[in-house]
Amino acid sequence: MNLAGAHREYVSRMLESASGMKVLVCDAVTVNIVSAVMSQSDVLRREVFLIERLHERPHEDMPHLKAVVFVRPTRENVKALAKQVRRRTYGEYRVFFSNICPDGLLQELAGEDIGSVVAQVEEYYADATAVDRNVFSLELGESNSSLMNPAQWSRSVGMAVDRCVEGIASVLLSLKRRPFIRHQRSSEAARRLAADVGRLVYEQEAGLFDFPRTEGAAHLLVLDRFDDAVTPLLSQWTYQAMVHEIFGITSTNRVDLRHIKTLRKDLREVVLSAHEDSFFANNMYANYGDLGASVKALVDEFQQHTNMSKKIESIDDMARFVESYPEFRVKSGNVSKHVALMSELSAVISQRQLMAASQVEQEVVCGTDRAGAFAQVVDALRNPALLEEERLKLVLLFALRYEKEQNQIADLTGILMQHGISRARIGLVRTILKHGGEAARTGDLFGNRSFLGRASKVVGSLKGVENVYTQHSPLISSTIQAAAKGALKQEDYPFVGPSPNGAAAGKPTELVIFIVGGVCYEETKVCAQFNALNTGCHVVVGGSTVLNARSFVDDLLELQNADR
Amino acid sequence: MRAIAPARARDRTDEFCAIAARARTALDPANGRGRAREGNHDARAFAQMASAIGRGIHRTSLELERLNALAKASSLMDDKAREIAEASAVIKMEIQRLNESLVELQNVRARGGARGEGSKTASDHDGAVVDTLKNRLATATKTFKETLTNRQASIKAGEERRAMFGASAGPSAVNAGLDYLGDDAFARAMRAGIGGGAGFGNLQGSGAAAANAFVPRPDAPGQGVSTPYAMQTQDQMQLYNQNAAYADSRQEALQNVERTITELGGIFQQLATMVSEQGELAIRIDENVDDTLANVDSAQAQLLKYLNSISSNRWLIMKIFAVLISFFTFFIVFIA
Repeated sequence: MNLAGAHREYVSRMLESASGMKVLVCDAVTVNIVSAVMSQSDVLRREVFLIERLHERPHEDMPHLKAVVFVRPTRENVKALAKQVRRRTYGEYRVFFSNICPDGLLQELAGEDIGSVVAQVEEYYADATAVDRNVFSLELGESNSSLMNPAQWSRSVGMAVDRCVEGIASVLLSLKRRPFIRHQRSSEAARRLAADVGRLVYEQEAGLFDFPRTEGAAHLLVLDRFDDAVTPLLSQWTYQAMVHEIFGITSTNRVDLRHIKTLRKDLREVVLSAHEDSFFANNMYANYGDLGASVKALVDEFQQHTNMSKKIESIDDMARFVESYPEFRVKSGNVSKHVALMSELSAVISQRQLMAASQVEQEVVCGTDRAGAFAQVVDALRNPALLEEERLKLVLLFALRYEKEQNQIADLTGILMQHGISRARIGLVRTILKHGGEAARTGDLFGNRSFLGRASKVVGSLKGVENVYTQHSPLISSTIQAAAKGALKQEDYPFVGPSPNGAAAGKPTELVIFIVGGVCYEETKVCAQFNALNTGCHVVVGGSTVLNARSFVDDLLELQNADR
Repeated sequence: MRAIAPARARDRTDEFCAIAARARTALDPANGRGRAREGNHDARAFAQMASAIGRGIHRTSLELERLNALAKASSLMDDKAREIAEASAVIKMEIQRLNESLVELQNVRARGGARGEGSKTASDHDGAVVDTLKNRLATATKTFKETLTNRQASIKAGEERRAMFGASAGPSAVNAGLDYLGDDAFARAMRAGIGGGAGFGNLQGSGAAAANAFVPRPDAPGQGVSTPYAMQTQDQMQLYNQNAAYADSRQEALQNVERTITELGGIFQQLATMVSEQGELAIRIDENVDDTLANVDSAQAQLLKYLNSISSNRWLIMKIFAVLISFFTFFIVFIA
């Protein structure tokens, strides 16, 4: 079970369905789905001469080309496609819908197919961007924040909800699973989403989801971002998460470095894909220190390579050099990419004193000493090197951790106000407590609810910590472990639709986790590490988007505006 | 979904093509109607033929009824042989004609089918019509055959009665019967007929069958009668042969039944042995179940013994556990 692999298989099957010269027609969403799993050169190798957006005004008709159309089955897409089919812009159409296509839309398209130019219509269930092997994102973007607000759910955000349901359905279909569905009880958003998925899977499209009985059971677990509002706010120190935190990684695994003027032109936008870049695949979960060592090793290796290629004395050497030159070029591009990223990261980190900030963050979240944490936060807030957003993050974390200490929280917001942070942003402290506070949570976020949790924390603090910057482990880690053992409490995570009977069905062999409000790279790391353990339970994690601290704070601001 | 596919996909091409084809025919009305008209033409011809055949069959069955009535009414004294012969000839011809036209009808239908025109339902309907007509014709033919058989039987009976009254039997009864009845004019005509009728050569060999030609008829018209008479006798001869074959087939069937019954007897015997074996097996199973029960009982007794032995240790474990817990609590509360 490998989501990105399944998507890659879908895309290559799609492109191989038509022989000869062809054009790939996508919509705004599917173009990301394709480019997340396949590079431009891979696509070109399959005789694709043109990649087009469906809604862009077509140039002149090109009946000599075959069109491979990969779009979401929406009304606008089908309308635009029907118009093209009627005009016969291309000689032959092979249509692939990324999800279940309603009969009405199929009829609409068929009604315009007067010249029989549509040769094939299929549904390939790839309706979510496969960010990584076992990670998917729905890229909700703007509408992500509205998902988090159950009060307004029923009205304006129907589209976003439907998108989530469709995305989850396509993931389940591509994994060929009909899951048992459960959700977090405390979250209205998770409940409604789970109910919608349940209706689709067990009622509306029951036949489609009726897979032959296979070994093991699949579970779908719908969680709410606000059950763990801490993880997106923390500074990250693993490679992928760090890049996303500081520069931002788009859904197609691209990093935009255009704002850094000192960089070479070809490094202004780099691609970080674990599928194509083996160095990145090996080090995406490595922390900052290990990463430095790895980059150094990479550079050393490359230097050796360069020296070897410099010694050209005989004809044989020359032949060998010419042969290995393309590979050499690729390697040099890769090395300069990672070195550039690394140097930019270290520049930003030292400039913004992120290490110091992160230490305080970890102390607040993981430590047990409230007074000490308060003093550290106050110190950090007075530190002029810290950016405004770092300060805000610190206060938000402190508020979440020590929710009951109203006086200290008030002191901290007072300090923020002195530093001229806007009223709206300070209001976030109340907003985050309202949505993600103790009362709204299901899971044991800070490990202080049960006696056992507190005890293990004490034992942990006695042992000392390996790395002060990575003490925190996200809540999803314990959730995954409990779910894999079938030990999630039925009261906290009830089932929608049928619930498994028997111990074997209660322990999933495949676990799909969807986080309403977005997933963080730290959580995908936990998921990948869990999968690497081979416990007999495979985890796929996804979210309505991939969050970093900035986008999470932006979502919170929008949420606050909507609340008013 | 392809068999080799690693991930799931759903192919809706066929569905799409079906919808598109429907949409195209809807968009292109002229073409569609033209084809429909052509189809209609064929269908009309077919329907006309079918109804003509239906009418023919009806007519034939009316004739048959009349013939039946005639055959039943005719007694020894008042035998309307000529009318009967005429009617049967007419019916025979009619049936032949109907048969031919049915074949033609079937051809028409096959032509329509080969052109691939018309929907499946239409061709089904045509098939049903042809079948119905065939059935009706077959019934009519059967009735005709029965009537003829009845007629033969009654003639036979008449012959026998005549033989009782007359001196001679067998082939000579023909002439004797005629003389006896003393209808000279008719007898003369008959003899002339014997000379002229081509089919009468066979007649001499089968007196019984032929006799019906010579029953007394006061109003016999003479020469012209010979042809229908000849036809009828031929028919009756065929019937006689058929009867022999029929008897043979019956005998064969009887033998078959006899054989089947013997086989069945064998099977029943086998079954009886099997049942008795099963009985033995059941008894053995019963014994085994009893053994198992005894074993389970002893196992339970052993388990109880073991429970007693471990419950004595349980207190010790609980004490140790309580000490550990209290120490742990102390550690958490005071040291941490």
